Amino acid sequence: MRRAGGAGVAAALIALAAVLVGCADAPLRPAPVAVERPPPAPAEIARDDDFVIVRLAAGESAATLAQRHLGDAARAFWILEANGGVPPAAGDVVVVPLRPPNPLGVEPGGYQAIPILCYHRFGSRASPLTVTPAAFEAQMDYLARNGYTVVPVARLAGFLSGREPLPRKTVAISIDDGYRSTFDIAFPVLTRHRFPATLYLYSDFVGAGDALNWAQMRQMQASGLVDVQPHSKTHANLTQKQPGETDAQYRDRLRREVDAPIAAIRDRLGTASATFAYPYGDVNDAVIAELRRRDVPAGVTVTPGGNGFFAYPYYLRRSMVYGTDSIDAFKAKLVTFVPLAGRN
Amino acid sequence: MHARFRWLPLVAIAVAGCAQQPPAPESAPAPPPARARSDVDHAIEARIALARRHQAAGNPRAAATEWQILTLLAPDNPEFRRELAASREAAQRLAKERLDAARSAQRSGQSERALEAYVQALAFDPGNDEAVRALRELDRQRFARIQQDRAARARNEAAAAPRPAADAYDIDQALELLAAGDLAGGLRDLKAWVDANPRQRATRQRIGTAVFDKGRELEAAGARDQALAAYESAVTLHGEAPAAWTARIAALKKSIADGRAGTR
Repeated sequence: MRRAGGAGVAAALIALAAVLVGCADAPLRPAPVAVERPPPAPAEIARDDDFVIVRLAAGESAATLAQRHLGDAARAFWILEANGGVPPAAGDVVVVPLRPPNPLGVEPGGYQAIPILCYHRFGSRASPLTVTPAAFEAQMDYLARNGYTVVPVARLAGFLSGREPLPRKTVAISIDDGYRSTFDIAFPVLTRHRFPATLYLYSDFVGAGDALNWAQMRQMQASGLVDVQPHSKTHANLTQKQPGETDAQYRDRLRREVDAPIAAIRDRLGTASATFAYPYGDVNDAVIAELRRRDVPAGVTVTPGGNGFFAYPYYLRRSMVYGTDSIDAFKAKLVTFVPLAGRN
Repeated sequence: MHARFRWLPLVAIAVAGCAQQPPAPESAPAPPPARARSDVDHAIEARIALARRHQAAGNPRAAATEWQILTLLAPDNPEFRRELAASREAAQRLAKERLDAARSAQRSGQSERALEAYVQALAFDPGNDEAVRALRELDRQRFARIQQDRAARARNEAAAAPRPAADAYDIDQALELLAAGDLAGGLRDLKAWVDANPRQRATRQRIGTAVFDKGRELEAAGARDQALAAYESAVTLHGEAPAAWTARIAALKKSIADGRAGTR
């Protein structure tokens, strides 16, 4: 089981705005990781600009090598993937890539994709938008047992910019609207697995009968596992003008729909908004313009599928997980590699 | 000798050469023990096999990575350097070929074919800016078409055909809002759907019934004004409300009026 996020959520959110807007101009060959190099260890066999080859000492692991040579233990997967995917043992000759080995995740036969799962509500009676506690537990257990790395949605920023690779089997979890069952049912399961999740909140919902309150959101955020992001003010479809609404009135309404949840989340939780979930997954150019105005650099839809590195940040795909999904249907949504159909 | 193993003598010479080098100065780290040297041999063999597998699979860029590692493990081996150069050259040649194919497909409007060829160009040359920019633009255009299709469907009020899954999601989402206590939000979205789909009789009945049930729940909880609003909305959304509903609305209105009169 691998997981990421936790304490990294806040840092990733801060970095996201700066990184995503620069996607189009991102340099493609990442510079070697800038860490202060330790003096050559006796176990070092060879090195060039791209690799250092070491003999693993007793008590060391891919994580300690990553911390020493790459400045971040979470980059241990770079080392694992460069050495056949098997954790190295003491005495093994280990190749440490000093640059991301395949930051774009492209192969001649296809490309890496990051699926973002989309949940709504959890409860004992399954419905399309209500997942039972047992089903959610089974789904998270499947991710844990099958080597998936779970990251917050904000972590996609580095991948989309081509600067930071993600492990081959990476998935993000999002939960829409702000139902209280997120706290009562999903949060304990996420905590048990140490899986991060992004909660998309429509701010008018807070305080309604079955909604989260701010104290619950603060508690989840304090765990380092849950980050709260905007999902509009009223959950209206932002692409549809209301009957009789003028263009100016529509723009004003859009502005309120974008501004209100951003302000509420900032004021109540002290969190900057880095992604926005479009109600019903619908978005148009006017909505994107409003997000750009507020420096929100990405938006998520409900168009299913995984996100390749070239995904347009305002059109990120998400796959809805339904309460009626079997575990096989759930597995089918974990699209972490998209094979090329024609191979030309 | 089988081509696959033709490096092994060179590896042996390189390794033997290393073992016969003069003693290191006293300040240098101690030479690795004999077992460690054999670990390097093992790593060399494994990397050669991996490089060959990548070559056989048509991935010279991945093979080049392995040859580069081999030049570090056995820096005196000229064959590894030659293989590295050859793999890099093959990768660049394939990248150019795929890039040309992608441009051609894009010019002729075959965007899916172009997208695949650009992905392959990048697989062989991960630093290719043109391929990255083209892929981002192709995906943006593809997604914009998806969104436009969704918007067009939503505008098509007269469509009598069964609604696609996306709209089923819209209704379920609105009903969830309603069930969760967001009466205003749920009713607004359901009304918008019914306004856009006035002929969807079965779905309107489903929606109306769900809203009426919510009204009953509110009335039982003592929220009579909200219950009345839900009942009246249910009648409108349903389109053909049962007589029992209108009777219940009348009774609730009377009860509310009586209550207000009693408090005066």
